[in-house]
Amino acid sequence: MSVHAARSRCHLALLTLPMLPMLLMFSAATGCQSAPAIADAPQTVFPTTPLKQDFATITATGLSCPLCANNIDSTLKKLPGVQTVDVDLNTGRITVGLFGKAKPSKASLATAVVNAGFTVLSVE
Amino acid sequence: MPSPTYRLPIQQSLAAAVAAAIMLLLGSSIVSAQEATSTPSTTQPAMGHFAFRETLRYSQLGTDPVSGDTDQHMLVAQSTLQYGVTGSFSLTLDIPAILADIRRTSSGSTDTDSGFADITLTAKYRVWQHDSSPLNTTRLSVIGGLELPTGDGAYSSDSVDPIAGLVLMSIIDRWGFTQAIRYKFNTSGSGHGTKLAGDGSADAFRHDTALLYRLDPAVYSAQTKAAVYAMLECNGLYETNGDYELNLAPGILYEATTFAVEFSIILPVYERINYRAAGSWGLALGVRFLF
Repeated sequence: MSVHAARSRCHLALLTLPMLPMLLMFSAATGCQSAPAIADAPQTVFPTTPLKQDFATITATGLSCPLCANNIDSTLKKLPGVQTVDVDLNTGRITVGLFGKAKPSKASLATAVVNAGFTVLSVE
Repeated sequence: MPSPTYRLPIQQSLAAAVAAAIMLLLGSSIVSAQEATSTPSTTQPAMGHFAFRETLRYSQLGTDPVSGDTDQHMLVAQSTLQYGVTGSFSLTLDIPAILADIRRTSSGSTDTDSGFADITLTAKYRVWQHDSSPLNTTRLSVIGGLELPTGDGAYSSDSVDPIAGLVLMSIIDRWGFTQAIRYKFNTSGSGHGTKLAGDGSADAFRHDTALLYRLDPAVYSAQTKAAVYAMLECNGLYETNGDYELNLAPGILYEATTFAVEFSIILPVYERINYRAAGSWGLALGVRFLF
């Protein structure tokens, strides 16, 4: 094998090596669970009627980090009627304090969390 | 053609992470959470929100085989602004400023330059997301962009270069894994290229791997307002002129709810550089804000 051919094969190997971690990660993420994944659950349609209670609890997944929690906080606080937002990264529970007459609906709360980049399981 | 440079930079004293600066200058800084210094992630600001990132990189280079310059020091400030168009689509603008480029010329004099390298506009779209628990998530994003010339002499390539890439990120409990690949097509042909790695007259392929481990807290709670991560990156740059470099970058990341601060050291572990000055080591210090 010529030196040039050997170097070309070395370069090719170097270029394909980065793909291996991607393939492994992708396989692990999609193939490991024996139970249906949370994110594969049927999408829930939330009611659009305004809430009447003073607090709502959203359960979400994929929150991953404090900066991500801020995404949720800032997005929810843009909704009329949202006063406080507390995010528990460990449980995925988002407690939303509501006030005033124009409170958001479950659908608008869920949409806000989805627009922040996460998956909503329930809104209560 | 200058003789090729083969060396293990760890043995050298202060050789540079021009490689590191270069990685940045190719628009590797996309502002988002759990994102390592030089490796893009799949996260982004929420819809309608911005994230701003400023990263300072110091690097020292060896001898430039083209110009003969030696004892080169470079300080680069990379400004990045990212906007969440939707919950899964974002736009990013990267503006790298060469604050100081100090070198000793072949005639023995010391020159100092500054300027702007090429600007990068990048779109990132998350095509797949799998959330397996309140915390854990795996996401895949596609990246497309353009590197636009600033026309700034030594630091601008004078060509509009398309960029395409993929990023896969997985967060599992305290661990975060990211793998990114990006390819820049150099449209200038044999035209003007800069001294910056990945910005010469050849196409550039980047592969970046990042491993993050949350040092504190061990378990999140409702009172958690910040986290500290240990980072380890492996960043590679292959150019179609045959140049290749591979860097390791250990670092630390402090991430609060509205800002993050990061620091890393860039250590080249393999270099095969014929067409520009090779680097030895570098430092990176960055800060990010969400608003």
